[in-house]
Amino acid sequence: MGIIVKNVTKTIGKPSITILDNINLEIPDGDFIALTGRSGSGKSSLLYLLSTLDVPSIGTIEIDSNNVSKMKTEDIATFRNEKMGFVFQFHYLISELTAIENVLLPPRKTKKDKEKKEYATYLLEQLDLKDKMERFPRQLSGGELQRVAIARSLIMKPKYLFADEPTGSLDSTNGEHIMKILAKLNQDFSTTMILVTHDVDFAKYAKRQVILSSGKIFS
Amino acid sequence: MFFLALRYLFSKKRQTLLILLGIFLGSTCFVTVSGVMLGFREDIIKELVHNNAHIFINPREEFIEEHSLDKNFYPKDEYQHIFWTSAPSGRIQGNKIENPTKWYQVMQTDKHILAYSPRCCANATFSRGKSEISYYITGCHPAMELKIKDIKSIIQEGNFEDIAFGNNCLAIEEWLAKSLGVKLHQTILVSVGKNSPEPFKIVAIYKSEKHFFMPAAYGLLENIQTLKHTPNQVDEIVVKLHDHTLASSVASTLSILGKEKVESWETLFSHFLKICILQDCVRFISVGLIMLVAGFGIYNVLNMMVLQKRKDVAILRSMGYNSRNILFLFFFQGLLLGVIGTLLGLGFGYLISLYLSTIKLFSANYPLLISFNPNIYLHASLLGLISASTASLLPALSAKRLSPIEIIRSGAE
Repeated sequence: MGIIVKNVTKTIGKPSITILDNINLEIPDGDFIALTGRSGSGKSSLLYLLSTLDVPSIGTIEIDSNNVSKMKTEDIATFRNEKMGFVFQFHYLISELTAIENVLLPPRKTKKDKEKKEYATYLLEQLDLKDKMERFPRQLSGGELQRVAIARSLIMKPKYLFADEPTGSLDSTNGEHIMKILAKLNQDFSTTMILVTHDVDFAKYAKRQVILSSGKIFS
Repeated sequence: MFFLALRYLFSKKRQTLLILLGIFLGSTCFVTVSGVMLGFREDIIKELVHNNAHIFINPREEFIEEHSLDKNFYPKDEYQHIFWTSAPSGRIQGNKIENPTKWYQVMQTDKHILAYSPRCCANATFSRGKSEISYYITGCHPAMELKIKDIKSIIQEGNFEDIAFGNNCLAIEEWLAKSLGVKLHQTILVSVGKNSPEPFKIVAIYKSEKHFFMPAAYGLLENIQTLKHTPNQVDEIVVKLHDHTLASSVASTLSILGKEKVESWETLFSHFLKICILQDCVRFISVGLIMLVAGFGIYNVLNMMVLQKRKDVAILRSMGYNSRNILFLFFFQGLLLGVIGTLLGLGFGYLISLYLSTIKLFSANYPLLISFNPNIYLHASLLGLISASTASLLPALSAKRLSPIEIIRSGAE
């Protein structure tokens, strides 16, 4: 099980530019890997491929023994909804919804939001947002917004959590706090973490690091 | 998605209200304008179709054309072609129905025909004392005529059928009675052309205020024939069908049977029907334009919203919402505005129509005729919904096509 990447190449545009070149990678369940490298090295592109948001030009990606390229769009959407959580550099919270409503968006797709409400409250409490659940995004600070985004990514108890520069828009104190939360999640719930960061200090929270350079795995 | 779509709409209250107002006004206008236009028209159609004959058989009418008289002047066929220095022209108008008995037999056997009534018409002079008025008089058999026109409902005094009893009895218009200063059971003199006047007793007075094509007086067919000095002559046979929509086809079938001019009500009132079509065009175009503006408003607002909510689309897609969900999110907003705006417009339009129907135009007998035909409401609903759904479908489709990867990569806040 886990994620297996076999000979994956990703090209974009015309004339085509290769952004990932013959990547081979295995991420077992419960792993915590940090994809690091310079800007433009392809780390975010690899994350989008691993998280099924994008498809490889060549090669295969297997998630839980399913070849993503052969899965139907509807099945991929369901898979993402049930088994994947996302945290991006920007929180991407919906400004018209309160913190708890944002957290309950993923279960709302399958009309399970009511039964998940208690868990959403629990998650927000755990992330020190107990008193701010009914606040709108404009009423929260940068760190709080990112924590709400983390709660949203965890609401479906995902098997995989993809974090793309989750600390990128935060100061070092808030960044540190977020990284500790992610590490604890990996430790307590065995959530498979795939973290993209260019910060060496934050990458140390991961069990292992994959360094990319010019679209290839450097080490 | 309902929940989020509603939140999006409520977050833009002013824009939402403006769009609602556009659809609302469009629907209100359509219902009110259509109500007034169709109210008037339905009344006329009702009069034309339900209280009148559907087919009119009149004496033959022929037009003299260039070669119509060739045989009259050169009967021996000795010339191949005849050229006229000044070609003959003119119209031959018959003055009676040839062989009306033949027509009666046809009427009695045709299954489409509900009733028929032979008539003898004339321009008569009505006089009493020094008062003298010229107007049309119609001779008929009252029992047959009543199957064509509902005259009983407009009788003010007396009994229409009494014109068949006794010698020289008349049913006359109220205004004629007033003008001549005559009352029920009194006698007036009636003459046609240069014939000497004959006394007629008034047995009924009717008021055809809102009825069309009514003569000033009705008499028994035989009495009017005698008055005209044209015994047994019938000038017109009017026919009522079971189904008025078959008038044209029945008329064309009947026209083969004789030289008489046979016209359906549609042909006879074709100018009026053309005005109706023109009226419909004006109605649909004017309201269509209002709806177009309202639809453009929906399109603009949703298009802006799609641009502003690109990051929401990206995050929703990452959470497992599919492209159909995204399409619905934006389409639903436009559709909801269309439904609410249309329903409010229908309701308000109905209330305005109700109020307008209480307005009297000239007198208590002339209320403003307003139609409450369900088709008006159906058309208004369709116009509102089509304009709203078309206008919201385009932005919704563009939202559906958004690539979450490109949005996330651009990292726009």
